[in-house]
Amino acid sequence: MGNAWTFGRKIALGFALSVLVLVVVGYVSYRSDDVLIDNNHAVTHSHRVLESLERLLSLMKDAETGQRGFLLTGEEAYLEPYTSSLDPIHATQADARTLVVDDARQLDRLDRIKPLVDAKLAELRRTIEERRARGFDAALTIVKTNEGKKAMDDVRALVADMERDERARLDQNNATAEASAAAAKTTILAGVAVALLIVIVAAYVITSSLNKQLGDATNSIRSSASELQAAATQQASGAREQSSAANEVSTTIRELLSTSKQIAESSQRVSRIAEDTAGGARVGDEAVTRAQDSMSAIKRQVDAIVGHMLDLGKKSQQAGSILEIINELAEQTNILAINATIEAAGAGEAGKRFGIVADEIRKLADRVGGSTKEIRSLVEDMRAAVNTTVMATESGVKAVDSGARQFSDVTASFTKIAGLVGTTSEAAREIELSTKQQASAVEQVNVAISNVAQATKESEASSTQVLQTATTLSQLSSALLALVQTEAH
Amino acid sequence: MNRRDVAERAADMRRAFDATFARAPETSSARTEDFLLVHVAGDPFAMRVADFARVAGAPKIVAVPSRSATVIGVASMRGAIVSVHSLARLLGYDAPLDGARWIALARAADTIGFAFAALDRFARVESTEERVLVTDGVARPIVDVAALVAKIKAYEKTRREA
Repeated sequence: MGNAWTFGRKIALGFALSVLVLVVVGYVSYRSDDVLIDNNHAVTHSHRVLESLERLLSLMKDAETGQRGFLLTGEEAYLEPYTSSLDPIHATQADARTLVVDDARQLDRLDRIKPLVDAKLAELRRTIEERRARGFDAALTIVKTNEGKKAMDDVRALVADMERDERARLDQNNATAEASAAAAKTTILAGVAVALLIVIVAAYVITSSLNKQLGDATNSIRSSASELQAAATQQASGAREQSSAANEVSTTIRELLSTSKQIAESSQRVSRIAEDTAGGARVGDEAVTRAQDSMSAIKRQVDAIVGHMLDLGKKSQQAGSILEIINELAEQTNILAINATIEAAGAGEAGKRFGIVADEIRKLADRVGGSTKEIRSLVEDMRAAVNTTVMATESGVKAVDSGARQFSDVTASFTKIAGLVGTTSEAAREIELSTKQQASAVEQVNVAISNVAQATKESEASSTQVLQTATTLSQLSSALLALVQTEAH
Repeated sequence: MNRRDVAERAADMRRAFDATFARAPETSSARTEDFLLVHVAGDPFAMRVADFARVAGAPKIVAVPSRSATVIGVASMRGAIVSVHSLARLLGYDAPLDGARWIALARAADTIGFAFAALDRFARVESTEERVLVTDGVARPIVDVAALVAKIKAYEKTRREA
């Protein structure tokens, strides 16, 4: 029997073998009972047949007794046994016939008994009638014919034969019953012995295997209980740490929730500011458009100024040219005066008055030259101023052009700003919505974390309970192991 | 300076010019001397007007080949041909020959002209024996025209003799 068999299979096999033996024993007993019952029926039948035969003989004797009493006394009262036995004799014959109907030999004897009984009864009836009619002697004459006696003897012989057969059958049935009972007894004893042997062997095998496997299982349970104890301790510790962490996470999530609400409020403010900014950007865009128009007008005015300044520069150049001519004339006059002075000095006293004139002309030329230089300086200053103004104006034109371009850029930037502000406003609203959703989600997470914390506490309690259960299991396994080992020894 | 200032200045100049002829001639006892204040090679100099016979501006100088390092060329002055010398080179400057705007014809030799670039102004000052004239706070060496003429002539004589 392999170790792979379970206790249930082993026990079932033991019980099956025991039940099989019991079934065999029961079947044999049943069969034996059937045989006994059949024998009992046969015995009863035989006794009933014997009883019928004895009754028949008894009734025949009663009829003879009544006939003899009447014959001797002549009194009718003595006929009462005779008259009361006539019908029962026929009924008994019929009863016996029904009992031996399945036995041809007995039935044949009954058929042979019937005419003898009838003949006897007829002889009795004749003697009784003769006694009444002719008296005692006449009746005695009939008796002395021995017909009645012979019929009666034949009946007795046949009945004896029938009784003998019935008794032989009765003996045979008794022997059969005894043999069957003995066989049943033997079978029951052997079956009980075999069943006891099977039960003992099965009990020994199951107990040995149970002890071994229960010992192993108990050791495994004790080891598992120890591991479970350690795991429960560790789980309890982990549950406490997890509970602490869950509390920290819950605190952090509450802070996060507060931060999310602040973000949502800030997003609302940003959205409002973005809307205000969008309005300001639109106003700025319109202002920039007007400023761009003004810049265009300024550019046209500056272009006109540049044209006028260029004309002024040309005219100052013309004035400079004229001034050069005047200066040239002054220089020539001066040289002429100097030469006149030289000539006057060479002329002696006669040239003195001429020298005076020459001096005056030279002085006038000097003054004209000085004035010319001064005017030239002024003209140069004016030309420089004009050039500076033209350059400044051209720079202004360039600045205006640049400003116009920058205004275009500013306009584009304002348009872009308006678009971006719109996008920002939309993004702020989305942020606000997302933050609200996030806050809702964080609240749900907070609730979930609270549930986790609660579950962790429950887990900690469960771990403690598991620890207690593991301890109890360990003690129980030790006790069971001690019990098994004690029983095994 | 506006238009009114210019008109007033012209009127002043006219009145001063006319007043000169309305006054009696000045009889100053102080001896005066006339100078031409010039710039030669960027340095201020003074030249006595009495050393020159004529001063001409913007002359047309025709360059001629010459062994003399100071000769620029020849020019026509009052129908006469004069040799034009660089006053800067005569004074020892290593200056270029072009750029002369004025020619002063020497009184001592009316065929020699001195060319210079800048004529500042005419100046009449008290006679001085100093070799340096100080005007307007500027010290100007007085060009010894006679010595320069003598130098040119000595060179020309040497060349002719050579």
